[in-house]
Amino acid sequence: MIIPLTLPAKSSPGSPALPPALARLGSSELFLLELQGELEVSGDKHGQLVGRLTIDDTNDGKGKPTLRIGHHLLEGKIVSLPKPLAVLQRVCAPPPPPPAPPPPPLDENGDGDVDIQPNDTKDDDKVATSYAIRTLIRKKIVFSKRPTPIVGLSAKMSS
Amino acid sequence: MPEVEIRFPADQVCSGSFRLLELPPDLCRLIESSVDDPSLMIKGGPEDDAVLCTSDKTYNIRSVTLSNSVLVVSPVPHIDGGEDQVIIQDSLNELLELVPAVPKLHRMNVMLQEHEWEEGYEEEDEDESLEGIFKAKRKRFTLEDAQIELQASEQEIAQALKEKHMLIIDGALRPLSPTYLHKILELLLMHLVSLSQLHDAASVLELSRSLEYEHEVRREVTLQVMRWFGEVDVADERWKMDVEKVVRQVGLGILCQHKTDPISEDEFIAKWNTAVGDTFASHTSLKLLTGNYLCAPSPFSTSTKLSYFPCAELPTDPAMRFADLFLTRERWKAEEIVPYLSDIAVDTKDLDKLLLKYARALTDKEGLWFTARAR
Repeated sequence: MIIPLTLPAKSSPGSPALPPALARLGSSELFLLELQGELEVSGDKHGQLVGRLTIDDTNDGKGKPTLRIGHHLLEGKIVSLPKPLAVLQRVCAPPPPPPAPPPPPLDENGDGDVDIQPNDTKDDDKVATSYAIRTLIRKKIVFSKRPTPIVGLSAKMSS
Repeated sequence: MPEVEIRFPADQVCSGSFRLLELPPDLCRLIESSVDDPSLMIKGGPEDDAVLCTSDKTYNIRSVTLSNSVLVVSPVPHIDGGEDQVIIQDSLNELLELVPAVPKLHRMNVMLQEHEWEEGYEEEDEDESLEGIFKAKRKRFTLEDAQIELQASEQEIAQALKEKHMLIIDGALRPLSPTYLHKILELLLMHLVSLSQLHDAASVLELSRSLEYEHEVRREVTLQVMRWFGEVDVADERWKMDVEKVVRQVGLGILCQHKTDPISEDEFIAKWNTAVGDTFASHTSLKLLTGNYLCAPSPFSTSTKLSYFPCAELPTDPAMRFADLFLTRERWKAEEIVPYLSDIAVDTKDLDKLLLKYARALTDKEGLWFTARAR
């Protein structure tokens, strides 16, 4: 079995660039954020706010990222990766162009169609999977410390 | 200070669709420099460990578990007046590492075992009516099949086909039997002399024609053999023989008859010289056959005895390879064991690692020896 790895079309218009605040992470369309532990969420999380990320540029030019999640503040750092990472995304290929649709049987029964259908879909499944290299990444943001609670901000947060 | 909002995606994104792949420097350069598709692919059957192949290299893919979680985050188009937003696409706990690997080609031998192209049996293929039932059973195995089945890069497969002497006949891969190959080479050497052709510019047409008429060797077979053992100038129809390769193969052909009963070194060299003829006798040297023979001192005379012990027939799994080697001999000289390991190691560093893992080194006044690690 062969799974091809494909390169994306150069500068595809659909992918927005990183916001200017994150410009120091590079020009790629994705970035990595490493957390010690997991983000645990209960309930419906779709579209919900996780936290706010700031990168402080004033500090000796290195950039100091902070992440505020609820009443917790995480301090992190920007780390250059020893080896670049490729971010792969599984692509379920768009259904291949139908091979010359068979003329619809008018008078005959539809058995022929039913027989062909499952075979076709099976073959498609086989060839469909591929991985696209979305981007190459050289820097990531690591939050390796424990979060510190924020006191006195609750009033501001809720407003 | 500008802030960026991090959000979960609003719509259902199938998680698990992202993977992180650590790139070795050479592969990274390849991806960055390639304008279009660098033809990277992941190969492997359901039972295999997956490998990643470029057009000329093979890498093992290893999964490394991370204790931290890595969020893959992507920006959303900026909305005027709103805050910058980014979306968590996926959360990963695993990284894929690539380790340079030896191409996994051993499966080719097994798959093509029954397809061997043997002298005198070629006609079977043409006799459709008689062979009909038998042929239906043995499936044709083509180059495309090999590219799909074998966990190796395109160039490595092409190289292996040449080294393992695979004929391509009517699109199907057929290994040429070693004895038949030996015969064809001897015939070629003979006809070079009898047709008084120069070995670095021999007429392809004349050679292949006389082999076909006098010895019933198919022309396409002769031509492919010529390509393996030299260069064929298509425009000029001239064959430039690779002397060393031909001499080596002829030597192997003689040696392989002495698997169980060893032959004395002097006798072997004499036979070899006769077989390659006067012109090339000066090229025979045991060095050419490194990795294919064992020598042992003869108990009754001063000469050494040679026996056929081809590296290519040993198992490819390192542990089994070492077990086989140490069953054959209890202890090995360093310079003797290395040829039997070079095909399962990527480089010398890798080879040293294998020796360290599976063998025990001993030094005495004769030099460095290796013995089995576990008894």
